[in-house]
Amino acid sequence: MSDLVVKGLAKSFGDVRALHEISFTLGQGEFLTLLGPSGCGKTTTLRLIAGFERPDAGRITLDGRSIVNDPPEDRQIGFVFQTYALFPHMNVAKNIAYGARLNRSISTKRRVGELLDLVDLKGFERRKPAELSSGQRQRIALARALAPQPRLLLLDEPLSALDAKLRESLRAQIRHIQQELALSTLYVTHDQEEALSLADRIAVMHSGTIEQIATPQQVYEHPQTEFVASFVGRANRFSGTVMATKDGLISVKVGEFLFSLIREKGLSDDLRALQITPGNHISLFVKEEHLQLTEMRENAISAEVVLVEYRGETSIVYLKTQIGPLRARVSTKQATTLSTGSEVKVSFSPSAGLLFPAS
Amino acid sequence: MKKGWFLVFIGLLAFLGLVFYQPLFSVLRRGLTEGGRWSLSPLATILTDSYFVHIIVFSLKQAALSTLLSLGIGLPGAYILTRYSFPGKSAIRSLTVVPFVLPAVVVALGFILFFGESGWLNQWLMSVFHLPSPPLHILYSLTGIVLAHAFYNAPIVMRLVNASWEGIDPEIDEAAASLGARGLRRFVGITIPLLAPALLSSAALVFIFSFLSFPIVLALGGARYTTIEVGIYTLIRTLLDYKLGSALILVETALSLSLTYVYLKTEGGFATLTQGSRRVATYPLFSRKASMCKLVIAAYIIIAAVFFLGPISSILVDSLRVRGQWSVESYRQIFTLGYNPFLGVSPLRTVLNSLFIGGISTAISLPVGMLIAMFAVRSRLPGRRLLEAILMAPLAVSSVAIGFAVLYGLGGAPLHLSGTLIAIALAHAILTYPFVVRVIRPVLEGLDQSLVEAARSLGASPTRAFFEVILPLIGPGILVAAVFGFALSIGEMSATIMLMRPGLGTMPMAVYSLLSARQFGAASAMGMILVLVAGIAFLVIDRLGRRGVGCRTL
Repeated sequence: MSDLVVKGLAKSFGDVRALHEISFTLGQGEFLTLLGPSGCGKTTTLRLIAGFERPDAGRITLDGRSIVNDPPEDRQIGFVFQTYALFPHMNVAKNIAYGARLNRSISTKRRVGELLDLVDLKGFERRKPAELSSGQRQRIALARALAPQPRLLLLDEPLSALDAKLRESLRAQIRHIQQELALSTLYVTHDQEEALSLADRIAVMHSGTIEQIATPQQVYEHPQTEFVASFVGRANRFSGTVMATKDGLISVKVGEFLFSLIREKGLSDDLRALQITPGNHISLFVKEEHLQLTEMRENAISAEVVLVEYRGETSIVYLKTQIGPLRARVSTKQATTLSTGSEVKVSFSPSAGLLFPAS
Repeated sequence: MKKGWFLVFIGLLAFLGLVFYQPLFSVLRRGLTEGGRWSLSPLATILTDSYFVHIIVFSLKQAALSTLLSLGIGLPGAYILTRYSFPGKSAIRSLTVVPFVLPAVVVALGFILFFGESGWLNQWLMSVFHLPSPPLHILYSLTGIVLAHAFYNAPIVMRLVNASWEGIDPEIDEAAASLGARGLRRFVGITIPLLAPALLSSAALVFIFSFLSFPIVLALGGARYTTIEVGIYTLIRTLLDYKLGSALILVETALSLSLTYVYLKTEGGFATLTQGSRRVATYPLFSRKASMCKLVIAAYIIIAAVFFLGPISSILVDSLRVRGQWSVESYRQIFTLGYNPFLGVSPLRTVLNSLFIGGISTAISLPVGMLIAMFAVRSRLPGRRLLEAILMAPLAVSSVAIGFAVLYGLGGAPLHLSGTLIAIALAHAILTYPFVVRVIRPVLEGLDQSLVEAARSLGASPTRAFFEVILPLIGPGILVAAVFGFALSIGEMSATIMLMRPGLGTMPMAVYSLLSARQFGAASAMGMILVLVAGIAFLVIDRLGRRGVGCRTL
């Protein structure tokens, strides 16, 4: 029952407020990702939990006991650094054994063997960190963090220094190990694909606050704030005005066009709380894969094809319209019928639009 | 923990205040008082008297000429090191650190033996060209001083400019080429501006070193060629005129502080140049394809080899020759506890004195330098840059002035250090700790802070993390700093001569005394011990330096 509870965590560095009252819980064996752009406070959150920094305010409890006043060495929290931070003067075995050795209850030698097995690096015991590839270094860093059997594992952008192929395979390996050990894990990343594919839940952070905390699917399909809608996935954004609401439909005017949206789907919590009334200024988001290049009755406008980008199975179509440039993702099969400069109709279903109060 | 460090740092400031700042200030104040009252008259005397004006002008003039010659010799070397590959290249690059550890008085000795009227070069020229008298009259003149300064400083120019040159991303040059710029145009328009900070900063450094140089001017200048540094020595130690001596120190310190300011301004400029990971392409120097260019390079290498190796080899040869015969007699004269009339003490005593002073001095300069380096790297205090500059002040104050400050400020009550080896060791510690800082600082800066965090997240206490992670990583750097500080102390003569008393002699002092007495054999034997110390220091610094610590900033 390794429950991590973070409540009202705040931290400033000089005049810069890095965190405003962050709160969340992490259940036993859960994998939570902190996702956000650089400077959003995700690494600060991790460092406060590890004990490398002290919070200005707030509580951190692990297994029901406050750890705010514990030094990092007493917290039993494993940390994997972006830059690996392997001890350059020790070989692989000594690096892994370092934490296990300090914990008397663990048989060091066996533990090193087990962990090298776990990260598929058997036979690397005598190598120095400088003799490893960056992917191998990161796996050793993971093994080292796991060696003292931590109650909680923190990973700070562990894959960001690696190339794309390696990143994907290591990602799967990390997830696999985490599930095998049923280890509560907090993972910081700025890469949404990484967050979506890894996590049980994602906390999207923005300028020191958590914007939304939910499952990957909910975050992707039902973003609760304009920031989440623009940061997760690729969406087209329009500014408009609410014209009328009736029969569960909202009509929104963007430029000269009138779009209609299904009320229950398209509203964020913010707007649901507000009474939506004609005259309200709103932002409308439509994900690129929800734009269709087939003629539909609703929400259709004419557009000119500017560029078609081949992406394998799908293609990106750049369009010029009267309400600004658009990006649509369609099947490559369909995209091959399009030529630059040709006129098309672009449309989206009333259930595909997402509304937020105008920022 | 934090409070503890703060107290240690306050203690450090108090210590430096007691042994350096307060004594230096009382010397500077002495130069501004007349009969116990504030007065500008000592300063006015210095600035109006034609003798003093002459030595001030001469100091600047010889420093300027030394800088030009050092650049003239050093820049082609830097070019060859950067653009050509040849066997022994890395050894040559390493050897450029030698001048830092080679005592100046040894260089002076080597120059006398090699370039002197009856030196090896003149003898060789006479026998080859059948001349009746020595053709070269280099010593005891401006030429001698400038040549010796170039011997000392050209390697520094070579080192700094080569490092900066290799740091330039070759893609910048390739970009210029792809835009249509040709060889010379690229060199003038791209390479020179990118090298400018390194050129300026090495020139400023050489100027400061030459301006404050003491043993070389003392030994090679003769009576007619006196710099401020020698002038201070003469005023204080020979004429016992503390008032004018202090006033001259005031003038010198003002000049050297402004020069150091220029140096620090230019120094920051080129550290950030290194961007690309690719290195400048090199051409093999020794290939079948001969060219005019290579002929010039070959000529340069031969002249440079004679210039740099000649004086040092002369010391070795002369130490082993007595009256035209090979003999170890000179060494026998040195390794004795018998009284030597030229030294006023036994030669072996001077060796022991030097080792004692070097040990005490290092024991002080190492912790002081480490603390300042830690402060410089870690502190987030407002005004820390200024404090750091003030803490590095001994770099900008002449050694003779520091020697006198220790004598004047600490010689009497309550410490009564006058006439003790401790006083000399203290002066050496003050002179050397800034170099300790310069060695250790980049080591600490290169230390990844997350290593400590990693150790602690794995359960290590701060103390454990220090001993198991930090110390093994910075240990070699500390050793380099200690060896460097020790070697500087062993070779130091300028502050030492200000604090000299009968019986306190050190090795460099012995070399100087034997030189003055024209006991060249014994001087060479003693000189060889100093060369040996410098050689060992060089090897340690070089070996550990390759493991990523060390002397990048030397």
